Amino acid sequence: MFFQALLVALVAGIVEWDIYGWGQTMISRPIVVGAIMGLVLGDLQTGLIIGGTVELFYLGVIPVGAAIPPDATSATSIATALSILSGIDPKVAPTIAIPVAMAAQTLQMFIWTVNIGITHRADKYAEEGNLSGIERLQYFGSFLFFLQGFIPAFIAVLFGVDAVKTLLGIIPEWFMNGLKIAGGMLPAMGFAMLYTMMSSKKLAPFFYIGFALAAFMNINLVGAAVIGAAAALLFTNYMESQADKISM
Amino acid sequence: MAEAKEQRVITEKDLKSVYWRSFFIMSSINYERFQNLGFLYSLAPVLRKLYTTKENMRDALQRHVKMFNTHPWMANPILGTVIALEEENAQQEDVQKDMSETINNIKVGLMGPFAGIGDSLFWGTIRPILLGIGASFALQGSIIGPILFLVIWNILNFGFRYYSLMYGYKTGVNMLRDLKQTNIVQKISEGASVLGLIVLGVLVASWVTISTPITITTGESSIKVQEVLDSIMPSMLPLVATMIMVFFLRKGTRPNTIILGIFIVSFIASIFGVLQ
Repeated sequence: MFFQALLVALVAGIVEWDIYGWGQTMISRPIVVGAIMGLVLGDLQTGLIIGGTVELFYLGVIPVGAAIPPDATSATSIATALSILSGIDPKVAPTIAIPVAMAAQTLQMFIWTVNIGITHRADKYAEEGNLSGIERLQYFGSFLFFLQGFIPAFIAVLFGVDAVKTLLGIIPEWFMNGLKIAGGMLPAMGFAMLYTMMSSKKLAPFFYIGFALAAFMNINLVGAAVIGAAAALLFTNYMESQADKISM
Repeated sequence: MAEAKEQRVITEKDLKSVYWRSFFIMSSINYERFQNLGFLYSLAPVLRKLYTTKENMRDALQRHVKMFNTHPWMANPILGTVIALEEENAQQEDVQKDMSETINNIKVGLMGPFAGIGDSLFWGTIRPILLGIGASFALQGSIIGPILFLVIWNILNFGFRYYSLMYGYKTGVNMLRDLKQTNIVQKISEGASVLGLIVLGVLVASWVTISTPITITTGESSIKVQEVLDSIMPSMLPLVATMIMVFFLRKGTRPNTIILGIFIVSFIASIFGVLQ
């Protein structure tokens, strides 16, 4: 189990690093994390299903300003690894991701706070005109975000797998069922957050156009994106011509 | 006066070096000044070239160690603009005369509106669309989902950061003026919201799954409630659930509290068998 824990933690650390540490290439997204973790542990199908399900919970949750969203990356790493290694139903496993994401979110907040110290150190280097010192601080900060993925995943696999196996034996039917129901409802939360960010009285009708297209006509996302892009161009051009009229 | 100005010392190689470094923009993000060190780190090759005395370097470092925060991609056009300004600053006879304030004002003036564009267009619209498409493949057990997502996203990620940096450097200080004249910030975020909301409607209808197993039996005939709901409007319960959450969010309820609520409702519904 030690070797497996190390392997999982290494993958978890690398994908976690992507969020803040380097690049934002989105290997940190649940659909990608699930697939990689599945490949590493030899069960790609389970990885894809869990990654896809967790992705639906979080695809509407976005980082704005100084807010740190729940850490879906750690959550997917740990939920996928625990599911494959202890045999939890892939329909239930994604709901494990929710509390993990909240806990890992507080770890990220902790690092953002620790990094204030780094910035104060940088003030000192700036006074000395020491650019190389500041560059080293930057690498240190980057490495912290690798650790933030590595350590929780290592502990979770090393001690969690047996605990989860024991737990599975005693969890009652209604609880498991409740988790499945929650799993169907949870994507609505991310979508609701996105809606509150983007919608206004003026723009709300566009949401219902999209809803009707899918609910009554089964349009898929690519079709919606094409219609949406056309509507966006029409709308901005129309608003512009209205503004021209007023200014004349 | 005209001949003394605009000697370009920053080469394409310097700009490329800044480009590769810009991927570290978030590395030491912190609650006090956010991406300040990321910005400084990205700028390092340019500062090394422009400021050779200790005093000049110190002034430059102190200028950029200040607070900076925007969408990670949108830092690059600002980096480009700042490089152009630093180049001009370094060539003044009396270095640091009052460019320091100008440079900082431009940074602060651009980061807000640019964060608005980045958050609504890249985070709020393009990423959810690509993720939604990717997730629908992944849920069918197809590896095409994550691969397709990664490829398209990173063409945008690496491409946008490169071209916006080069654009920022070429446009220089004029960028702020162009922004105001064309009203582009509002246009982009409004257009992104239109596209985003249409896609969001589709996501609610296709990916939120709530249904009820309740059957009402009167005498010999029994009515399945879900069938009735579907015949009125498919995906009615997902729409209602989403709008209830919107209501609570607008009232200022914390997301984590709402999530806790979802679990409680689900367990109660499971015990009484009203949802499945």
